[in-house]
Amino acid sequence: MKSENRKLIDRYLQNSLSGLELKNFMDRMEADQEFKSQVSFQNNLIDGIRKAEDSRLRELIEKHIDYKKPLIPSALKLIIFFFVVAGAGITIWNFSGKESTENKRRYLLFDIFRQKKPEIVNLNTGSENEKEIKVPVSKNSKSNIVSPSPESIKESVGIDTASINSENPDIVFKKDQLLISIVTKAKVEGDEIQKPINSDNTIAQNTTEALNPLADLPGNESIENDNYIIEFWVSPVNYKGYKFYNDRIVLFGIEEPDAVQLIKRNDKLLFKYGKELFSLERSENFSPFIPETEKPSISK
Amino acid sequence: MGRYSNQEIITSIQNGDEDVLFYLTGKYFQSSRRWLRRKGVKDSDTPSVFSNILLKVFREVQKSDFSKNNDVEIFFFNTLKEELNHIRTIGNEKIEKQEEDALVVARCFSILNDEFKKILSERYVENLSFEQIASRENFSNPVIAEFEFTKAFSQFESIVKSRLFVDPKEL
Repeated sequence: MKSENRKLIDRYLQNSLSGLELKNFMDRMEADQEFKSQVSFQNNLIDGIRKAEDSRLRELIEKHIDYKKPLIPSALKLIIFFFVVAGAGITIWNFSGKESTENKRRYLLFDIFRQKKPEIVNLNTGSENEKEIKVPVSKNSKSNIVSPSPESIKESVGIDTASINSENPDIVFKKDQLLISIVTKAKVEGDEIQKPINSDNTIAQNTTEALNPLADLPGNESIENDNYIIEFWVSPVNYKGYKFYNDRIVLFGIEEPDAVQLIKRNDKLLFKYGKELFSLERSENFSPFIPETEKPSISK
Repeated sequence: MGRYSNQEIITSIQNGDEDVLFYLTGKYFQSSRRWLRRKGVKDSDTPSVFSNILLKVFREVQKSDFSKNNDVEIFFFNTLKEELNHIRTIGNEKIEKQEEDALVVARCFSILNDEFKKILSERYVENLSFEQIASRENFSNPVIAEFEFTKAFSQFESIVKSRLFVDPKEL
């Protein structure tokens, strides 16, 4: 290819020809096929140079890109993220919410995967309340859940304790559960009659205090405190009964604590559950509920 | 690799400095990758899409009429959006359908030595005049630059003709 032709074609391909020059060039292309093929060839060469340069630069850029294929696909990442968030939410809800229970905790701690060790239940080590509550379990052995062999149960007579050794992993020990503990006053029946007595007591107390407050004279100590702590427990063996000591009443088998009302009648404590009335006798041992048949005597 | 200001980026590209491409790659690839993935481009396709776009930006900035007041970052992301729209309209077809001849010519070009490649690239890709080529390549005057260019072009032409089996008498 002649140098002049190449320069002219270069100028044409760079759009720098105009006017007469461009017209002459176009005329020559139409007339001269060889010249036309030269233009086409040079155009291909320039295109090729551009493409080669572009691909070289593209390769350089791609080589320089710090591209790492993700090990986990993004969709799977989203699914894992969803499960993690959902799991965390459920765990928090079960552990810190009002509805968290021991059973749920046990379930979430995956106790089923743990190797079950032979359980030794020593009721001696429990708190005072626990000791008291365990008694019905051992004494009323009508349990349909706890069924240890007689040899495995050691019971010391006179003490509300029992130690149970069981190597059988199939046996599930369930504990008594405290539902709610409330402090309530006993409703005194025939209150209007007793009021004067109370007022007399108050006058006597005031007089004692007025005479010599520092002398520590015996006051009206016989006045009983009408506040009682009532604990509502539920037993896995569906035991129903009560224990009444000091100012504490432990009730088993009461399903609706709201329906319980304490009534004091003639220095005798009763409790009303729904429409039924039961008497409460002070005792360190558990006693069954005894219905009170006698009707309240308002005339007294 | 240090930080480049906007003007430095433009000046470097117009002076044919390719290092600035690597700087831009490091700066924009991860954000572009995330953006492209959000727009539905496969993750494995993001490097090639990004390199095409960056090259397009590079060629545009290389043009002498590109104003130095333009923001390269904004220009880059606008080009990215346009390119994505373009990819969506043409579907999964190949963006460029290279002709057989052009591929052969490109292969022939890669055979040339680096000096010839550089001078041909400066003339036809960057569209530099012989004066500019002379000053960049430290030739004493434009005539020498033109002479070197003619030498390079002739060699390239002969290689291409031999590869394409074109009869030299025809031309």
